[in-house]
Amino acid sequence: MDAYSTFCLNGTTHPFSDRDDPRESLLRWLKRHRLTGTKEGCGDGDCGACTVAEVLREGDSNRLRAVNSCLLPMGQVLGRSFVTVEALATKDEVHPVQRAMVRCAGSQCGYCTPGFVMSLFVGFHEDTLGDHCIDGNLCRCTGYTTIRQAMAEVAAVPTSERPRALPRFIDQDPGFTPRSAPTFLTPATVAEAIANKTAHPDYVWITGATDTGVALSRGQPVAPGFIALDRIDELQQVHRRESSWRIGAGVTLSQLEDQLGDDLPIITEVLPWFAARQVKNRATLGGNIGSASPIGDLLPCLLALDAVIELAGPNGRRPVAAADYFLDYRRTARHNDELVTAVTFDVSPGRQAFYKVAKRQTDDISIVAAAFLVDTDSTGVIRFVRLAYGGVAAIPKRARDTEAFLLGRTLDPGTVDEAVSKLASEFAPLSDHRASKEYRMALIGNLFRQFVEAA
Amino acid sequence: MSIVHESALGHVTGQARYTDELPDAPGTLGAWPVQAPHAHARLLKLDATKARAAAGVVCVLTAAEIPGRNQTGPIVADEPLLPVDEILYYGQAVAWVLAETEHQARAAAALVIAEYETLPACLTIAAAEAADSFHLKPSLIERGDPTTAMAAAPHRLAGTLDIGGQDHFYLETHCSRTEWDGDGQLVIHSSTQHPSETQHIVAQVLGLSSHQVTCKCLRMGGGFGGKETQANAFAAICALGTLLTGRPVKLKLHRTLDMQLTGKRHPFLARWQAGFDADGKIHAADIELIADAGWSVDLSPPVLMRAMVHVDNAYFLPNVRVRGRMAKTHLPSNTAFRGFGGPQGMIVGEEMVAAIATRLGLPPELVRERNFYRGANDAPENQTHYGQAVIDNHLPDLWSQLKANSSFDERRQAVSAFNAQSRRRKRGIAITPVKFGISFNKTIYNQAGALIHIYHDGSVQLNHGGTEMGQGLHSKMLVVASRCLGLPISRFRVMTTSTDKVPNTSATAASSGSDLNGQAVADACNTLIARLKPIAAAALNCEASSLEFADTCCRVADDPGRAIPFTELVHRAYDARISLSATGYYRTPKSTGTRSRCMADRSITSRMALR
Ligand SMILES: Cc1cc2nc3c(=O)[nH]c(=O)nc-3n(C[C@H](O)[C@H](O)[C@H](O)COP(=O)(O)OP(=O)(O)OC[C@H]3O[C@@H](n4cnc5c(N)ncnc54)[C@H](O)[C@@H]3O)c2cc1C
Ligand code: FES
Ligand code: FES
Repeated sequence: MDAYSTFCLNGTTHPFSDRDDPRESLLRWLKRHRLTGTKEGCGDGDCGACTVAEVLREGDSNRLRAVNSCLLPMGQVLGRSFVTVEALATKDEVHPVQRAMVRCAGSQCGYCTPGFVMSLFVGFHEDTLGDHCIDGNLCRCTGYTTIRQAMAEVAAVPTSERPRALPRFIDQDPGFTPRSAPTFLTPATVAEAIANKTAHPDYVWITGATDTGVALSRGQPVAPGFIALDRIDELQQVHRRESSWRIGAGVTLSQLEDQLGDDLPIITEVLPWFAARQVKNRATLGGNIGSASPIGDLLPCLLALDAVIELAGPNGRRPVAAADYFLDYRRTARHNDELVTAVTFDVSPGRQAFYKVAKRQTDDISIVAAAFLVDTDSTGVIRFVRLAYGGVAAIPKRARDTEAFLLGRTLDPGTVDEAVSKLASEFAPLSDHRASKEYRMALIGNLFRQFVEAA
Repeated sequence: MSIVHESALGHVTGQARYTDELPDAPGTLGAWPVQAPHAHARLLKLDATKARAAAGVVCVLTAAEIPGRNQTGPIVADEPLLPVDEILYYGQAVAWVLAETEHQARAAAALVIAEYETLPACLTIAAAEAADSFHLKPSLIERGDPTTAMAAAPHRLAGTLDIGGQDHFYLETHCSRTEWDGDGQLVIHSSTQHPSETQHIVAQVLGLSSHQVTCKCLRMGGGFGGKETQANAFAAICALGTLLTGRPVKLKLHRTLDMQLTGKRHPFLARWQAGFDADGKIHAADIELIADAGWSVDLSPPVLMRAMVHVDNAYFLPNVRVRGRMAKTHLPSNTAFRGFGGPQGMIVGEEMVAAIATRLGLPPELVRERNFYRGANDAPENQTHYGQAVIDNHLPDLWSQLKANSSFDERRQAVSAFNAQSRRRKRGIAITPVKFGISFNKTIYNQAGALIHIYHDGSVQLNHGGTEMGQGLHSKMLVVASRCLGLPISRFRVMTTSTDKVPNTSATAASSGSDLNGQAVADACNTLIARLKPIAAAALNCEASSLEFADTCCRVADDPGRAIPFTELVHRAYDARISLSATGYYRTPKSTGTRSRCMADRSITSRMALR
């Protein structure tokens, strides 16, 4: 066998050879290998029917996280361990979450069910059961009540009875160290990544693959090859010294949720409304910046924080202010041979808030997003203000004129009215299938009013 | 008796199979469509030469390849499987490429050269009206004298309501697979709510007789009406491929394709006028409904009719005119969707009542209540505009009970108090009745069949004509059979729905699957019971009429100790050369419907669901 790498599935090591395509999703691979329990409901990361659990080794213990197998290219599966729904039940008994789903009539047509079971399985063992644990799973039949009942039932099981390490799912013999596929490189350091890129200028960066994976799942070729940044330690660090932060580009949103605590509401308020659990477990800050979408939800936050985006390329590293980074629709100051390594910022004092308006609360794309940071002195005079919006221009953008206007004033009703009309003149939102430009225009002002009134 | 879904364990362990997941027979081909990039166009040229030569390609299906009728329309023959000269919606498949893998088929589909002359497209109901683009003739239901009553009414109000469509988003997209069995029978596995129609349409397209085609439906990952007719064309594409190549073909739509190619809930435009008095009582209503049918008729006539007979919702409209039309637009053909036009009709009635309440400054629930159908079964104010009495009308009682149980009036006051002091956040509260007609409007569809085999060992195979899409139909059929035969559920196996077991079935739809098939199952059981009882009577030395089937035996009802175990009874019957296989059949009684001045033939059973 010409296998050059392996991965572990349900405790068994599988070879990966030249005949396999590293761009193929784990979901399609499972299907080809007749592991049909994992379903494809959308192929877009939206429905969660394809949810599988990744087993992360952390020293002696294992942690589980739910991911969308439809978005995960096999190149990023190599050298890692996964569990699918087929492995949960033993010959003698089903897993407690499976039993609860049966007892509570949590399945009707059953097509969403394996995905829910996997999300609940992870929530059960990681002690993270709750609505956010199944936000990324759609069910068209049940209306969710019975599924939530099943969740409540297993949530009542004492944590002491929920083993964390699940040896039977872990690769006992990882065989040999995984290697990069020829068209799917997996550098271990930033320097190596840059060297890869120099050797293959037409390859593209990929980290969580939650954006790129959608295109791949839809059969778009995207690029001749990929350089995966999700195994570079340096990119996964979060450092904080007092009010100064440095967040690595490879940090996932779930890690951010764990590590930021309550000190950065402007970001932590985004995260519950950013995609859903399975996506957040893979999606990264660097990928959000890399996509440079006008509705990238973290981008207004970076603008409001006046963050600095750190780039690394063959000519070394350079900082670019977030305010100077976004040039035009999905065009940025980053050169093709550069990658984002980190974001740094100092948190200014004052009140922070983030607002996202979408058609549903979780797992939806913003119609308008807004990040506000305002500081006043003891008399209410504004001494510092940044108002940043997403979804209302070709790029995420600050309302600089309104900021200048507000500086030195107090937020009395007249000033707020005037600020709102100034805001309207700074943006020219478009109408699309999500919302009309008039609606977006109304949101620009009303979100600011809401911020003012919430004080 | 409440049982768990018969497939629940299969669902949670991932072992329950769906059409796509049956093992592929060796040589199974993948399929990919060549899609037109115009909503309306003339197809000038279709050249698949390059695609045919591409890697892995086995065949390219175009209209020219069809040996039978190029036609899949369920009611009206206006749906070519593959277009001959005209493209009628964006993304319409002009050809399908079959290759060794779906991937290869997709790559080759891009090589098919199609040339078009674009034509003006109607994409909205308004555009269809402007272009006078409609399917079939308008429909009309009329009662009383709406014109005079409207003119005489103390108050009048008019409005329009735009009602949007909706994708079914069954979690499992459309899927079909076809192959020849060893003996020249074409076998289809399809995620379809209507295997008999799928069988029939496929036979028609291939130029075969129905007995040469078997259609099976294992289970669906949701249907919601979206697989009532829409599965037919995909099954026909696979079957055509199997006919031409001799090889199995499988087609599972990717979500984007599913959304582009299949119909959705009908958007409607409603224009209404109401005449009423100072109490809010409606004297006259004049309602026009336009359904966006899309490019073909599909099920639009019954959907429209169901909307037309639901505009009253729960309200007595003494003088009423309801007109209905089907806009022909260049969109995928809209189709059945839970409620089947009912919700679109009801919302118009509700809009009307709400507008009247607002105009008069009355609480909406009061105006609702004042307009309820009421009185005895034959009371004039208890008659619908389509000529059916609201039999056993419990609505007034139910309403006052609900209002009391929910403390509606106090809550209404609390809401008002909250709103008075809250500037930005507002609350609302509503109570709304629903009257919904159950069963098929078209009388002939209200029939069903079943087939039950009892084996020597006392185990039972249960076949019925309904399909399982998550609604738990199979489980309910198990309960019916288990109660009739007095056997535990574990003795039964519900077989894959198949047209060679139960023929000429109706779609599993119209909230009728359990009633129709359940009665057919019971009928089959009763036939078997009637055959088994004399054997048991002889064994137990009693009258056959004194026997009952319970607790896995046949026993004397008044003396349960006198019993013969079911398996033993079955053995004896077999030895006595008594058939242990029976069909069952059922037709809904009382569903031959009265007709008012309504243009279509239709009926509604006397059941009413209030929720
Ligand atoms: C179901 C679903 C819901 C979503 N919801 C949201 C949402 O609510 N809000 C939102 O903002 N986004 C959302 N997204 C989009 C996506 O998840 C985010 O943009 C995410 O941050 C991308 O991160 P990633 O690591 O997965 O990026 P990838 O897919 O790996 O990459 C995305 C792009 O960034 C580039 N890139 C990746 N890493 C780097 C790097 N270090 N340096 C330079 N370029 C890089 C890649 O080349 C690619 O062009 C959603 C996606 C899905 C599938
Ligand atoms: S298939 Fe829907 S999220 Fe993966
Ligand atoms: S049970 Fe059908 S989608 Fe959830």
